[in-house]
Amino acid sequence: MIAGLQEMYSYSFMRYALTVGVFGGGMLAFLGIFVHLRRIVFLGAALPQITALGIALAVCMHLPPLVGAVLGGLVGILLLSTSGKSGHLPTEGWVGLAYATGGSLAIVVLALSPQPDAGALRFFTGDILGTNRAEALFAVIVAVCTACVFRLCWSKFVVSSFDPVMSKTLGLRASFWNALLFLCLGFGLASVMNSAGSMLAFGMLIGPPAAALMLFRGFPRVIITTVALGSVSAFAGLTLSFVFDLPGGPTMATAALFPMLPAWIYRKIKR
Amino acid sequence: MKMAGGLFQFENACLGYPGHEVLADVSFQLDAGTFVGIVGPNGVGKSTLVKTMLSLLPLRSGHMTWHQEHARIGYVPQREQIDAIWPMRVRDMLQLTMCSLHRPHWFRRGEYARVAEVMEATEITALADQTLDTLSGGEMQRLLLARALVVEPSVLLLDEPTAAMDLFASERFMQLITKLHRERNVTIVIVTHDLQALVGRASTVGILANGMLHYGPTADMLSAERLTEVYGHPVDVHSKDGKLFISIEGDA
Repeated sequence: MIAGLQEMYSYSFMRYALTVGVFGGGMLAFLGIFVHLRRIVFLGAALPQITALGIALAVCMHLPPLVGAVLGGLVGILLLSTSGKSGHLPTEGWVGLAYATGGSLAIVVLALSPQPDAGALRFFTGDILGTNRAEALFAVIVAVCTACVFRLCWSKFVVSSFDPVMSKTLGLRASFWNALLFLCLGFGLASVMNSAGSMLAFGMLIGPPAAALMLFRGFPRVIITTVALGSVSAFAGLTLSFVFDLPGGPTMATAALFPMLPAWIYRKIKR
Repeated sequence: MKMAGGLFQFENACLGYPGHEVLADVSFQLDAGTFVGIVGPNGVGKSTLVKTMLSLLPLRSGHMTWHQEHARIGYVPQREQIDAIWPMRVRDMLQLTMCSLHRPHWFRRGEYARVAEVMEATEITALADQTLDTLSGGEMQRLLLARALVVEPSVLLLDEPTAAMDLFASERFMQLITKLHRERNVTIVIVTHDLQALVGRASTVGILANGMLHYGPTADMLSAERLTEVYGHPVDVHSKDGKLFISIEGDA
């Protein structure tokens, strides 16, 4: 079995895909803890769609898809974080509009594109095996930077997310820490979306933290379990996709969502 | 104009939201070490007053001054504003609040003693390892009080802290506030509907009614005539064994 794994991961395309899965997946899973606890899961679904639109526009304009992913993610964060302040439409309405618009326009823009590069369309099919070295490196850099930022400012992120009013009375700039959290989320989504599509990005963002939050009631255990589930499910999903000749991204996303089932059963039995 | 002992001051302040004035011409001074109760019917602007004092809402006109530079406010919200799904223990919440104040944002060894001392003062030491979702309403409210105290505030601002608490939990909480006020000389501003709870505790009461703030000594403000005028319904105030009792006459 070990020999089989060694052979499987002797291919550079498998190693790059694994790098994006383990680093990008682990990072998105970690950020997903905040997405769940702040009750902004729908925003987590809409952002990949806007990022997809950014990639589609980049493909159409013959720019590197990664540029489109980053710009799309950042524009999405900017739009969604300032939406709903007019009072005419609730934030959920804006998020829903972004989801529908981003997803549909991305397909329309690609259809209008004269000759889309087949490799650039990977984000629709979730074919992570086309990941190149630069994309893998980008995922690692984003994951390491995110880990450093959260390690240094953990209490600020938690206090400002948990109770923005209290954080203001403490002199914390809740809007700054929100912006930084969303910036990490935007870059994180871009790094995974570009290689493996919205399915894997959203699966990683939602599945592992949901399972961890069902299993444990303390930050250290929730974080360790979430990141471990995100990374291990990326490895397991990629390996299974290779062995059974399945699409990489969707198989990894399924693996990321699978722990929800035993966690949910455990929670039911414990209750 | 700053007056001796003044901690906070509104001068001819108009409070409200964009396009909507809630309170007009509010002039009020909060003295250090006092216990002030803010009361009034629903919708008169109690939350607006609190949000403005916390600088969460800008003044529409007039002046607001915190006379102590860097005056630290301990804010105690209603427990309904707290989301108990966060996977935190009681101790974690207090430690995170403390270490969010300095750089680097890691917990310092000496701060364990501070957290332990505040937990003891607010009678939640036994709850230290419990998670938020396991706390009762009264326990959660005491935790929120501890969180406000852990940053060593010069003034505690409490927004209807005993709302939705049962009679015993409410009285226990008020006793705790009174004890903290007396022993630590913390300035207290409490917004409440429980007029009875202010009797014997608050030195000053502010009543919000008809877009105005009227304030004065507790005994003067909690008179039958004034309360009847404010609430628009006959209110009876009588004393027995040196205590004031407030009741509503007839059907409310």
